[in-house]
Amino acid sequence: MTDDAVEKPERQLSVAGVLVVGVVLLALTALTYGLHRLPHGAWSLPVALLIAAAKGLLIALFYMHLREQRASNGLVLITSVVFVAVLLAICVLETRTRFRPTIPPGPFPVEALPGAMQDPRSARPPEPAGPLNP
Amino acid sequence: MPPEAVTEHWGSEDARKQAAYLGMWVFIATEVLLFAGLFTAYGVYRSVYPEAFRAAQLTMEVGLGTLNTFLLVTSSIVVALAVHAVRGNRPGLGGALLLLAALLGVVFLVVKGVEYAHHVKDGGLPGDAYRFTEVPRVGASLFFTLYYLLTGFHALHVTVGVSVLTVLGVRSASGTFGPAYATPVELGGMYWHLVDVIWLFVYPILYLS
Repeated sequence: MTDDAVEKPERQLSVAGVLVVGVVLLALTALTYGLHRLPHGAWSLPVALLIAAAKGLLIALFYMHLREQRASNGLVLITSVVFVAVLLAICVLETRTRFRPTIPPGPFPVEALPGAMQDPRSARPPEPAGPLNP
Repeated sequence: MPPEAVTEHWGSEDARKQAAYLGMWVFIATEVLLFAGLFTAYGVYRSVYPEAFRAAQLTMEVGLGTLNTFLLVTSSIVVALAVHAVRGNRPGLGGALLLLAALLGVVFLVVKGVEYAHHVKDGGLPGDAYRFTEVPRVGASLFFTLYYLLTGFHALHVTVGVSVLTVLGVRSASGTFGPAYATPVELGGMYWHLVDVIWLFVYPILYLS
C-alpha cells in the first residue's frame, strides 16, 4: 500500500466503533435538547450550532468514510463549508450594520408603477406595515 | 463485482472507487450550497425581526422536532452498520438494515406531516396565506415561509433518500453487493448521512433557540 491508495482499510470502523460513534451522536442530541430545557440566553444558538457542527464532523469523518479516503475528498467538503461561512457571515453582518431606517418594516404588496397597465393582482391598496389589527 | 469494462475504463479498482467517492463529494458540496442559500435567508431575516422570529419559534412543537432528530440520528447509525455488514460479506443483514433505515425515514416523514397539519390548522402558513393570530404577522410570516422552505426541501431529500435506501436494501438482500463491490451502498449511505447532517442544523435554528 502506498500513500496513493484510495482507501485505508485499516481505518475502517469495527461494529463497536460504529456503535461508539452512534452513542456519542445520540448523547450530543440529548445534550442539545437538555440545554434547551435549561434557562438560556443569547449564547444558546451558537452553542447549539457548535454541537451540531461537532455531530456533523463525527458523521463526515466516520460514517461518510472521510477518514478512510484521500485528503483531497475532504478538501471538497471543506471548500463548500468555507463558502457557506463566507456567504452567511457577509450577509448577516451587512444586515446587522445597516442604518435601521433602511430595513423595510415588512413584506410589501406589489404595486403597479404609475401609468403601467392595470393588473388586477397589483390593484389592491398597499397594506399598512405592522401587526394586523382586528 | 462491478462490470469488468467499468474497472478497465478507470484503469484500476482503486481509481474507479476514487472517482466514485470524489463525484459523490462534489454532489454533496452542491447540496450544501443549495441549503446555504436558505440558511443565509434565515440568518438575515432573523437579524431583521429577532422578536417576531423568537415568538414564532416558541409556537414550534419541540417534542416532535426532537423525536425526528433522534429518528434521523438512529437511522444514520443503522446505515453505518449496514455498510459495515455489506463490506464484511453479509449483504443479507446489510439489506435488512438498509430497509430498517428507510422505514425510520418514513416515520420521520409521517411525524413531519403531523406537524404540518397542526400548523395549517393554526394558520401558520407561508407568506400571504399567514393567518396565525397569536404571533404578529410581520416577520413571523417570513419565519413560516423559511420554515416550510427548509423543512420542505429537507423532506424532499428524505423522500429521495428513502427511495435510494429501499432500492439498495432490496438489491443488497438479493446478493448484488459484497466486499468486492460495495460502492453503491457506500454512496447511498453518504447521501443519507448528508440528509441527517442538514437536519442537525435545521433542528436548532427552527425549534430551539
